[in-house]
Amino acid sequence: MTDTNIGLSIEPIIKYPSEAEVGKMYLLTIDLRPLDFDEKWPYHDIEEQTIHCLINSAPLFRSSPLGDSCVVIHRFGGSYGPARFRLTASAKEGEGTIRITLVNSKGLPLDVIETPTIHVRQRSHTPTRISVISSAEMKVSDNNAVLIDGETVGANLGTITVDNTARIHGVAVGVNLGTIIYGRPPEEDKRRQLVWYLERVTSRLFRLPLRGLEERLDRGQGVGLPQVYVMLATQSQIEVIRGSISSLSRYLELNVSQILIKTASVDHRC
Amino acid sequence: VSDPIERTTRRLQHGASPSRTTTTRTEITRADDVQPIAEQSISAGADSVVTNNNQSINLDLADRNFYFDLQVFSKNEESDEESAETVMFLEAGGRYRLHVTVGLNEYNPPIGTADISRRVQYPVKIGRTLALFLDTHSSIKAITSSQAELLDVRTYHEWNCDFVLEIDAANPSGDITLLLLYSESDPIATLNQALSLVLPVKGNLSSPPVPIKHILPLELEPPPDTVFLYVNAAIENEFELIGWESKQSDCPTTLNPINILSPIIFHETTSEDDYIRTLQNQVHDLSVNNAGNISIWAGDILQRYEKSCCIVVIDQADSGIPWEMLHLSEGRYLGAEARVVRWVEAQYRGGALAMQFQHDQLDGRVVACVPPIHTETDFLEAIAAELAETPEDLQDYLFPDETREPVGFVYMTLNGLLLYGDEHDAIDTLLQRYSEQYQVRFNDIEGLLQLRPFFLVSTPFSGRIFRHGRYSCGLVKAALTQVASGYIGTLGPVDREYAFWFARKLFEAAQSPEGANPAEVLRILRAEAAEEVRKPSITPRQRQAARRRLRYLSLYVYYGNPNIRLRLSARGEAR
Repeated sequence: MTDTNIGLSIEPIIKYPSEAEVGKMYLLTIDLRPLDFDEKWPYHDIEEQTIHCLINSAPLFRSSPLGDSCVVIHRFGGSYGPARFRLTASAKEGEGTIRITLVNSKGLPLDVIETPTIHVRQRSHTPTRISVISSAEMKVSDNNAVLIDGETVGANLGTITVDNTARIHGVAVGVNLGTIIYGRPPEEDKRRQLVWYLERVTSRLFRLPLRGLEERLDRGQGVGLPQVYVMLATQSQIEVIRGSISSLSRYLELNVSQILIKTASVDHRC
Repeated sequence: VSDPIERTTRRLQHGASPSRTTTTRTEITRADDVQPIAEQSISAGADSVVTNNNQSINLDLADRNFYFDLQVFSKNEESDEESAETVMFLEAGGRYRLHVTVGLNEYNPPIGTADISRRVQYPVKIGRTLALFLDTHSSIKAITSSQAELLDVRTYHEWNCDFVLEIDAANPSGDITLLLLYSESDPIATLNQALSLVLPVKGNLSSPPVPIKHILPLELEPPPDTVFLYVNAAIENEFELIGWESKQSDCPTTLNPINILSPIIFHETTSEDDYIRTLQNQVHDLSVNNAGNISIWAGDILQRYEKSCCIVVIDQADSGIPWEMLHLSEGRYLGAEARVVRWVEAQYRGGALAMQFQHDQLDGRVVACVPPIHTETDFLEAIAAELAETPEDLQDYLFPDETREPVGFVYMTLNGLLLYGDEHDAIDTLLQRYSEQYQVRFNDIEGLLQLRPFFLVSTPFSGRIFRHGRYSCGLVKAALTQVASGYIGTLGPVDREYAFWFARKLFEAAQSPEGANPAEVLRILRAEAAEEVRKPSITPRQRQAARRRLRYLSLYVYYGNPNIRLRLSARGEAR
């Protein structure tokens, strides 16, 4: 074993119960966020890397994978979703940790991540802590996605109003693409294929590359594709409320020097 | 206040799946105005109709859709009382109850009432049993239990499940996404995403924590004849085994769990031979019973790869099982048929140590730490070993000296336990067994060695990784973390006669012009002993000696590069 400074820098995002009740079931999720992406991605010919997660949770929990026990990270700065595991707490009280061994596609162990101490008690008195949490919003893409025929919606016969703070997650936004792409109402397998495709495209293009415009635009958080989508989809503005600052306070974040309008509160999607 | 409600009726033609129906309903009322500001429904069944307020909704419920319904209530931190109204915003540091309802009833907002609520409803088709999980993607500090209750939903008309959330006061983000996941089979195999709810957080926004960076050497590829055997802890005294052939990408073989082996305690009164014999019998029982399918798997691997195979044992359960001792058939043992090496995670200079497979050669000076009265003088003189008087002195010998070549080989054999000092109560029983204990530390030398030496440590349990609380500990892990490039130690007691014999064999092999591969030396010595045990021509006494030698040799384990070669000069001066 020798020192190694090569490789891909990643940030693990692991969510687990820090306190659990005996016999109960919990969710463990492991996601990996590459810190070297786009131009910094070190693998020129490989766009994705699969990293398997092996769990050692005894004696506190018995673990079993919920779906694939791996995380696929891609060169555009994210993954295709976390690996999920069901944890069933032991029948006995105790404390310990969960160790996660990250393994590459060839079976080679790469790293071991260990959680802080977890307590299993007869009855959980304090709330279960959650570890590092990503602030990134996740797109919901469920197997029970809305199935709406594209022809009618695509014909733009009207608008659907969504209120100030409500959001629709899932593939409802893109269902009319089924007809556009396939030229006919998609069958179930086609629809699922489209959902999968949209997820991948969304993941890959979540952050819009702006270097061609101006380099500094590409720094920081940049522009997310959902923002672009909302801008393109907005056809009109609707006045929600009019009044004094105090009466509008719920829509505003008041600061001494500036007033930031909460975009989520005034944005209407048509 | 203007009313933003737009009422639109639209006819949606159904696609090819008439049974699929989905409704997303969001109703939001403002706390003081109490007028509904928006409501939206989308449904799509056969010839279904999408409507908004005051319009009928034609849903296809032929397959008995179950509706998930989410409501969030705030809870008083001290009294634990909660609001009667659902909340529209979350506050940093606040506590909330997420009320999940699963039932056949579609939610209908109260007519003519000031319903201050935030509800989202979503229908799915589910089987008989249901388990719910809550996943969050924001700064939720805490979630109480009650997740993942398994339930036979069809025996109830409606079923409720609560999650209590605590929002991180220090680090809330702008929005919090609550993602409800469900599984409808038992055992739970896959998760479906039922519903998500995004709520804004009021509070002081601050920067997220600095991410902890891990560097993964993804570009490393083991040779194609490498097979990994992962030993993971399933529950107490039950291990999950995973075999992984490196030439088959993304294709691990999950073996059945192995229930063993109540731990064998090495009591003060237990003789060393009895302990090792019991240990061997336990491993032998695993083989005979083909526990977890391990024997068939290992036999198949050896048949396909023959002796070119290198098996890397990654014992993440710290089980201490000598897999090298696994009996396959007809006098064949795993550790005698293949190069078996082990891997343990270690950190060096802040970076992860990846397992190495390159064909390197290691040479350098030899430093030995042996008891004051020992019988190995001739042997140590022959290899020109410098003698460190005590384990504490060893560190001084390892310091780089520009006038001399670096230390390439460290040999330690002592009467008693050699400890690193982080084992604490993990070795209570051993401390009672061995009155002589020595400590060795590498604190001053860590990070200074350009060439990391190879360690052979023949003291009891010197190859064992112990578990103290939440930490793996012991000399082997400390040495590999701080100073060693490779390490041979033993998982059990040491017989000084065999320890000396083995060290001599290894050094003699390393004195050959081409040097010696320590993993291969171990394999050959085990194979010779196993062969001798089955020789019909030897005396019972010789057979007994061969059997003991095989047992002790099978307890020696090697951590490190399976392809490295050690080389010492014939006269003994290390090159």
